[in-house]
Amino acid sequence: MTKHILLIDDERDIREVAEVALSVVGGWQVSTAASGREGIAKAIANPPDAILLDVMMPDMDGFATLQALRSQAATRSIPVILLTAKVQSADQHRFELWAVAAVLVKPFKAMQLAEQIAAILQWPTAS
Amino acid sequence: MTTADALQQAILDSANYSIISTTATGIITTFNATAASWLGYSPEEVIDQITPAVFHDAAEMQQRSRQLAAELGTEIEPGFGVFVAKAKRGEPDERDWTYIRKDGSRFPVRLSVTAVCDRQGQIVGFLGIGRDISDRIQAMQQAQTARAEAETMRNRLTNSLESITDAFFALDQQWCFTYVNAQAETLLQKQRQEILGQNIWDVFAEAVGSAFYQQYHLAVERQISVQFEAFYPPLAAWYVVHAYPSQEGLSVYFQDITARKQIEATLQHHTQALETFSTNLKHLHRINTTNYRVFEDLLADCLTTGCAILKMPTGIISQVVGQTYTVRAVQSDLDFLSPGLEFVLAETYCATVVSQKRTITYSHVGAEAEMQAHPVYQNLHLEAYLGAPIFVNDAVYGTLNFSSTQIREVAFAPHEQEFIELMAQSIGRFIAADQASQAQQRDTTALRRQHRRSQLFAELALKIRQSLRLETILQTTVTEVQQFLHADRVLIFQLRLNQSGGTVVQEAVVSDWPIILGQEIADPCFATDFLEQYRQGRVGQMADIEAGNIAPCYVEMLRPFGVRANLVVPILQNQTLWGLLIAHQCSQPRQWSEFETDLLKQLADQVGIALAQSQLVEALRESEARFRTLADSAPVLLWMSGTDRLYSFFNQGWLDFTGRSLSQELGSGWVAGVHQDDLEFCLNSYQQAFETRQPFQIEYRLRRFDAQYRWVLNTGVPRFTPEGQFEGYIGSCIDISDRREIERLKDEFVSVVSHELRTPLTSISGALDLLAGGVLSAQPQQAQRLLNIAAANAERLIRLINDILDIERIESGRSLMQKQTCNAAQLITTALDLTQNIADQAQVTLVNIPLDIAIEADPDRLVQVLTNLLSNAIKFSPQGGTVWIEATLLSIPSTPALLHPCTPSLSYSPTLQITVRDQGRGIPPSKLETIFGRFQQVDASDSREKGGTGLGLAICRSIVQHHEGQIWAESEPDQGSTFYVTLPVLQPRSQPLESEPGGPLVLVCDDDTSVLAVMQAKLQHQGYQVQTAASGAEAIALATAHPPDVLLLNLMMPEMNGWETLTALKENKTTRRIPVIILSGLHPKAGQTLDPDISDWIVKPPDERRLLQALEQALGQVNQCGRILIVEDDLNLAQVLMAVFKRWGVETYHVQTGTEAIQLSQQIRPDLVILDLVLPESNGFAVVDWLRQHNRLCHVPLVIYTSADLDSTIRERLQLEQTLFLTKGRITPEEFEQKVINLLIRVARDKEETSHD
Repeated sequence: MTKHILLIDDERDIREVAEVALSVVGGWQVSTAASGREGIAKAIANPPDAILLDVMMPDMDGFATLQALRSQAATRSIPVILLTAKVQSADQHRFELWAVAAVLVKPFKAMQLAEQIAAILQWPTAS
Repeated sequence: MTTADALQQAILDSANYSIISTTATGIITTFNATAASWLGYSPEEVIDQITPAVFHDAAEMQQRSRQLAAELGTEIEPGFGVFVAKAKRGEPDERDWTYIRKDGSRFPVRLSVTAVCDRQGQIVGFLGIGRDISDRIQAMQQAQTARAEAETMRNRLTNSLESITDAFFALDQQWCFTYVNAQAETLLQKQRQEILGQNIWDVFAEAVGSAFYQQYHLAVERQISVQFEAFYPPLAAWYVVHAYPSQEGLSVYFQDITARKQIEATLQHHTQALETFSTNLKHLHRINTTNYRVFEDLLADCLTTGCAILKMPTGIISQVVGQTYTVRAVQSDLDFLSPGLEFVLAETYCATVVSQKRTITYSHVGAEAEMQAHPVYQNLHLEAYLGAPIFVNDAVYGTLNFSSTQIREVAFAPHEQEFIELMAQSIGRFIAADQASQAQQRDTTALRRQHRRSQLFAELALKIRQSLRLETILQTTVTEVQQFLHADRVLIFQLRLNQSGGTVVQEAVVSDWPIILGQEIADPCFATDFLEQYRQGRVGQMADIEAGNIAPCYVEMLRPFGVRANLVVPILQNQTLWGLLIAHQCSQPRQWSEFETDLLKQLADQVGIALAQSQLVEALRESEARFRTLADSAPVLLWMSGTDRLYSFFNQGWLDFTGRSLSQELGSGWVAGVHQDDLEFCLNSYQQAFETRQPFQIEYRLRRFDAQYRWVLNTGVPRFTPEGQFEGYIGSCIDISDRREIERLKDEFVSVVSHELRTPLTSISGALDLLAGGVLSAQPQQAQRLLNIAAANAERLIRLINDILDIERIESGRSLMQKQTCNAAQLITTALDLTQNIADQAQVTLVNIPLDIAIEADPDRLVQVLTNLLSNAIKFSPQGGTVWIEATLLSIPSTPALLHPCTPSLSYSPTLQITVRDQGRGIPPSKLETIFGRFQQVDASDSREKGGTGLGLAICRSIVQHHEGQIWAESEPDQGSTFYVTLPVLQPRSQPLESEPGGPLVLVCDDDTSVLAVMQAKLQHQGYQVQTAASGAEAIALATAHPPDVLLLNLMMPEMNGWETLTALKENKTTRRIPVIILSGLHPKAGQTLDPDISDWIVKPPDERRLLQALEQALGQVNQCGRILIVEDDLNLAQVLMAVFKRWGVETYHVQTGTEAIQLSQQIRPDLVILDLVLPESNGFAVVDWLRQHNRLCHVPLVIYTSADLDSTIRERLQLEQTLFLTKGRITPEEFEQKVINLLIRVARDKEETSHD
């Protein structure tokens, strides 16, 4: 069964690149959202197998989004992988608190992104 | 037997005698019948026996033996010999013997022994003829018995008369003795035979007419018995007599009572003595119990009493010490005797009393041969003497003696001696008591004196030490000591350090004597070892300097001060002789008592301690003051706490910061300022530190005077005394809010920048990775899309990096504005051209309201600013919206209200203002300012949506600020925003600072053109004319052609370095006098003085203030502007100020009082007055008032430099035309210096201008 992954990032170009990487390389079904709010709506409407979440976003950032996802029964147990360009010690602490599946750093290796995620979530690799 | 024999036998036997014959040796040869019948032995039984052994008594023979021995003078054995001893001698021997019968009974015999001789006359035997004498003896015994009986009778009577103890005699009627008993014989000393039958009045003729005579006659005549006692002188005896008349005559019984009479007389005598003694004892008792006013009265009473009792005219109580006899008390008719008179002990009668320790009496000295040569007898003829030792505490104290020139008829009675001895004992006890009492009194007096001294000392010491001020202490000392001693002068003399002399530093002198306070005294005597003695704590005292035993140099020194007596005690400060405390008596000589000396010495010690203490206090005060000044001028917040953890000190900085008063902050008051959230942490940390006494650092928020909480870093360190005792903490707080903010911003910046850079990088690398991975080979459209993404983001990345570098360059000053005269209208047009494209794309209309005006600007940068503002406006404008750009000239002087609040100062120069207005969504008020920060877009997503980097406005602000302009935004939400840019308008003639033709010409020589440009800009801005030279050679050429007023010279230059250039300039006549300031990256060699050819040395990059100061000094502008008058009573501060201004070449004058200030300012006409307000005599206000009245000095620039914060009312009062109010402690010395110098320069310029006009 094809895995369904939801990508939330405010940066359009990154969304595009990541979508290609996950769908083409990973062979997964990919949905995208440009903001936390949109992502939550989509996750509730069509719960994905995993969520790839950008941290630094205007208005509702990654942590706020994560909090919202955890507060909803429908989305509570969906594994979340954070995606961030901002890796600072203070944030590291917050990541731990939120018990996310993993934190991936930007810029990522697009060709290996799907493989990394599959390893994290112990999904069988597409190939 | 023969007949003869028979006859013989018959005769023998018939005789009534016992006849016994013996041989010569006593063997019985014949024993007749009578003998046999009487003795009971037969002749056979005894013949041939030795006679004595048979019938003689051994005891009788022994007795006869003793008799014969006595009679004949030869010893005869008690045996036969005793019977024949006499017979042998041919003497008849007849005597009584006892014969012992055979039955043992005895009978007396009269035995006659005859020797029987032969013809030759040889004794051949003895014949003993005995006669029984028992009858005769019996008869004799009967007669004897009868006689004895009669005798017994008579004896009984006689015995009764004889045996009575009374004497007795009987007289007949003719007064003749008829009977006299033995007792009477004895008493009358007459034999009975002499007087019996004699008339009594014949025998005792002396008694006729006596009591005896009368009484006997009375008894006889009256026939009565009489009884009487009478003395009979011839016999020197007393008798008691009982006489009874009788028929026969008179019987007289009498007894000798002489002995009794004598006893009676003695008794009576004794009774009298006893009575006298008793009376005397009463005297003694009286003496012992009388409470005499003085002790001498007691002694006098003793003597009076003694003299009366002994009836002697002279009485003395003496004290004997060694060989000296001293009259202690005397009563005498001898006038020369008086208390205190001394004699040699040996020459007094008392010598014996003392040596023998007993009473001695003489009743008639003249009668004693060995005494006649005695000095007392020789001189005073004292005949009678009674002396008794006085013992005090078991030792001979002296004597009590009475004497008289009269011979004493009767020897001193024992009771008299005894009485005197008792009296001496009493006196001894009294003296002992007196001595004890005197000793006690002495003790008490000493104690009282001691107490008084302690009390006085305490009083004086208290007065002296009441103050901590040395001067007061010394003043009090002399005053108090003078009053206490009633001395004419008391002074404190302080020795010079070399101790060759000194100064009178304090004096209390009574008005009659010269004042010597302040006098320098170089005592020639000090050269001697005087000082050494004082150093060792010796006290010098002279009762009278005129007494002659004083060193002449000393007398010479003291005489002018009128000193007659002096007392000098050293004042030692920490074992060093500091000076002397001296008391003078001028009026008269004076013996200083030990008490006074001691007291003065103790006080001098106190002064010494006070000196040492005052030094400490002074040092402490100074250190305290230094600390406070330091603390108050420190730019940090200082606090101090004690061991109780309470805060005990806050510096001015703290109080200024918190805006609270000291009393509010003290103790735990400061806690109120700590932010609620930090309070627990702050207090816990402090508490913890206190317990461990470790240094600590805490960061917390503290409320500032403006109610804003500021982050402070509180650093505390424990304080310890030099002895290591913990005293609390001292600490400082610094406001680290800005630092924290900067750190936060930096962190955020780094975070944001990294994010901003990584975002496009993510797109680029992701896209390229996928492309390179070849996964999209089948999807060329998607591949193309990714390529586009990569390209666009690469561009964005470049733009971003450029912007970041750009702003960094501008802000760090590395990017210089290439300013030139530009037309504002032209710049705006260019910007519009550049943005028209995007406006068209966004369907936004651009409206330009131009103004043709020249500005000095870097056109590219200004266009960048305008383009940025326009593109922002376009980006945020709704479709079909309009963006206006308008340029206006602000010709009216701007006021702060009209200008943006950030406007630093009033601006009177014409200003160009460019506004860009849009109809966009507007900017929230909170963001109006922050949008000019880096990456501070109103909306974070803007940068992506609108293609900005988030740095545009930050760059704009930097550029505008580098054009001395301002940029800000105004907005109302949904009403659009307006961005303002103001720029100075280029007005060559109207810009005094930059275009002033008279500005000094500065030549800057540096091989680095950027330095030249910066320096030129800076200096021109400060009103200097600037020439630049890029090499030493060029500088020399320019300087020779147009000599500058000052040269700024770099050292490290290629070809011709600074030093070579300097040498060349100094060698050239034209350029020699040009002051040269070195402007170099090098530091001058440490410790080396500057080359005299160099006016100053500034290290690059130059501190602007320092540079200007150097220029001003080099130009010598300051020294043309004359005089500063400093009115300051603090000498130290005044000296510092004078030194500072002298450095600037300013003439400085200094006065300490307001009055002096007024006087001097009239003389010197100062160009500036620095005035302290609190002054002795006329204060600062008076000085200002006076200056204001003065027609010329009313213009003088005034700097009020005082420690008080002055409110506006006071400032108004003090305000002259140009007045600067500077608060001591609030302003650093450098600031003060700069402000005053600036004022002075301004004044000088004004003056110059005035004079040019």
